[in-house]
Amino acid sequence: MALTAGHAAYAALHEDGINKFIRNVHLVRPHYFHYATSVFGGGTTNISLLNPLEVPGIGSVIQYSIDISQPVIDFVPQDAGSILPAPLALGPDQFSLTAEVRICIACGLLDKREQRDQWSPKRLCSTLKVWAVGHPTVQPLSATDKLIGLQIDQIVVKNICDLEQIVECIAELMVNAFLERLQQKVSELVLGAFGLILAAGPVISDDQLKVWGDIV
Amino acid sequence: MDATVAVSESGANQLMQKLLAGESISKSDSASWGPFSVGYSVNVALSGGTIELIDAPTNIVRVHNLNISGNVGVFFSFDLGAILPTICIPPFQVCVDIPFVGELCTPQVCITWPSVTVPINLPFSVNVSADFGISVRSAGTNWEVDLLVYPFSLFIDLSPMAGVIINAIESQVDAVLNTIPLIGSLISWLVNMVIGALSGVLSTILNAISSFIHDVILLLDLFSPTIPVPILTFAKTQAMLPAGGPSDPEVDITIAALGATIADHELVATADFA
Repeated sequence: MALTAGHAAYAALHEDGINKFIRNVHLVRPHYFHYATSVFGGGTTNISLLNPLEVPGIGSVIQYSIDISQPVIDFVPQDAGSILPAPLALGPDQFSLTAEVRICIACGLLDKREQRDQWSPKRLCSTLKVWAVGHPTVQPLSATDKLIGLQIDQIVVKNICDLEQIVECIAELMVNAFLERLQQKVSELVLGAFGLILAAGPVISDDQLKVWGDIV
Repeated sequence: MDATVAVSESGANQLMQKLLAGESISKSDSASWGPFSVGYSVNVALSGGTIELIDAPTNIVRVHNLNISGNVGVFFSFDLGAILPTICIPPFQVCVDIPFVGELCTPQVCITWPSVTVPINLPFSVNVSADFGISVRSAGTNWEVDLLVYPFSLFIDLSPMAGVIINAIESQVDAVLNTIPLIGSLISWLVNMVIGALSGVLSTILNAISSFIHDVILLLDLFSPTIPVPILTFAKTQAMLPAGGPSDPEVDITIAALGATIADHELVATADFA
């Protein structure tokens, strides 16, 4: 069956391709994946700066860091080795994203100078596994170009008991903010071979993100 | 493969028209045939045509009814003295040797024939069909999907323009001779002599110019059997995210390999990222 489906041109990005792209983002812009307060190195080239958390009642703050592993994207159909926890399921025109998030805090590191001789801080870390499913998006950019992206609709973070809903809410916001940074112009999906005006798509199927359009 | 780009026959037509817009050429030459010096300057441009994509394993891009058109600016230059006889008025001169005076002759004027230049513009247009193979080539910082023409038949024939040339030269010679006094009754005969001389070499001249046009057309990259012409070009380094400041350097993807084929009447390029 013809790929162009009645249009002048077709472009598709395979899940392997987008995962290589994310790998390169991870390498070149590590601060998209690493966040920390200044004590944990935040505010440097590789680590985005976070403000410490106020701790109620003690008049001090907690230093912490969040590290996100390189996410893995799986376009429908689901890879044989991929397992999504309930209630997530990969439906038509969807993708899944999996990543691990490591959160560390400096427990006992109080911001009180008079108590520094009593410090006994401990670095406590926990790694959460995050699963999400979402759909492709399109946003107008100019008269002739649009932005193609991905957005998650549902996320699951396991083994955090009653905090699950809160953590999932934060994680969803973070992942969507990250995905928004990876949006691509339609014209870039044809790898610069020609100008393309989007006529149909984006659609996810056959492990690929597909668009169709007219050549300009 | 990590990415796929496919172009339908109508899309390939659009890409071909862009390619054709850059395919033009101008060349000139000159030569002499008998008394006639002929300079000719050829301009060629390509347009139109429709593309048929023939699937693998043949993998042929067939262009139907590609129009090759242009014009030849031809300059005929010739010295009428090399063609026309010497004409003196009166035809004979009587001279008498007079003692102590010397030789005295009756008056006679012999005509100095001028040179004539006749510019003629000869338009031409021919439709051809040609087959092109496709290949992938690493060309510096780019990957290219190239077209390479297979030998094809191209016949340029300017012989139908003989009448135009004869009329133009006849008219110009007639005008030039009309500026010369005392030969009014001879002009028709003299013009016929020029046309007679031209007729002996005109066919050869037109064949030479036709052959020159043929050779010039084959100098176009698109018709060169040794010069691949890119129909799709991909930068090997694709800037996926532009630089956004000191902490946000450009994020690239490198196309490590490119493949191209024709399937389902589509030109399909597949890219593998590093």
